[in-house]
Amino acid sequence: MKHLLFIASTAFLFSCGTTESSKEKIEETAEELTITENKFGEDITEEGALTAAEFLAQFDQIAAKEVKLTAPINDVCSKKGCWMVLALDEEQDMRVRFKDYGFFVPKDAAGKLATIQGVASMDTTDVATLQHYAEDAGESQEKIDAITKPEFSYVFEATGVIIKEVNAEADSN
Amino acid sequence: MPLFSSCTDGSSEEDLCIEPIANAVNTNGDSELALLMRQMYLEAAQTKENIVCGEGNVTPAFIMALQEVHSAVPTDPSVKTPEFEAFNKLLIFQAKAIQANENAKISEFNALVYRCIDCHKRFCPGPIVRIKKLEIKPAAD
Repeated sequence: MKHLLFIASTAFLFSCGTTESSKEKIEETAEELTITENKFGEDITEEGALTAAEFLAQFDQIAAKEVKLTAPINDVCSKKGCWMVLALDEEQDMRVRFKDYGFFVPKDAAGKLATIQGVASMDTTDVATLQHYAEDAGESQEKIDAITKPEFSYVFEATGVIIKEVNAEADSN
Repeated sequence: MPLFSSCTDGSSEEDLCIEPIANAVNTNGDSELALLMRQMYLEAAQTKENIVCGEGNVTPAFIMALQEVHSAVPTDPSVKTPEFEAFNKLLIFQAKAIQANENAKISEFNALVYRCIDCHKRFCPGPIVRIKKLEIKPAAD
């Protein structure tokens, strides 16, 4: 699904060269934004989606319950698109798997914005699984071998996903 | 035997000039083995229904699909190891054991499910959550 947005911004530049009048120069920049939106799994909407900050702040109340949030995609399984990692803030992220391995996301979705619906929890991921994820992410054998400890972190089982990409094409007059 | 395709590391489809097969489930396309695994899942689910309802046994299509695993092109070519082949043979044996043991179909079918999970633990853990649902649990009293 594609949407087109036109944003016209006007910049006023004032020159004070004379006392009688000010010279005004107006520059207009028209920017066309193309928003591409694709859905995977159940047909969900963005309505009511939490921000990542709201999700973290409310986590104790929403854990193990149906929740919806929007966050940028940091990483995607490079083999099949069978998981992705969302950035929750500068330090924390959350691995998202898809319910019953029932759907997949594009392997090139990293850097785009995702809205996900499903159930969040904190869980421990064992070393073998972490190593498998690293393999899927295309990490070097050295990095894979360096994984020696299980990880306790946010995890999410999504029933539906919306992935949104915004492309800007500036057109100055 | 994985019921679904493997997604462990190795060369990509592009490396082998293998075109992923477009389908509605995976927007990235799927390998021949991935599609075969999905077909096997459906056959395994039908087999479960046959056994639970007392209306039959393992479907011939399931055993045929298992026998095609050996030659199906995987997402990740590196999974076709001797270990993978051994799992495949073991699972064909186990599927035939369901046919052969009319009085122990449930336990033989569950053994097949557990072996699928063992193989997926080794090669591609993603589908395990779904495969576990194939297990035939004792009826509640």
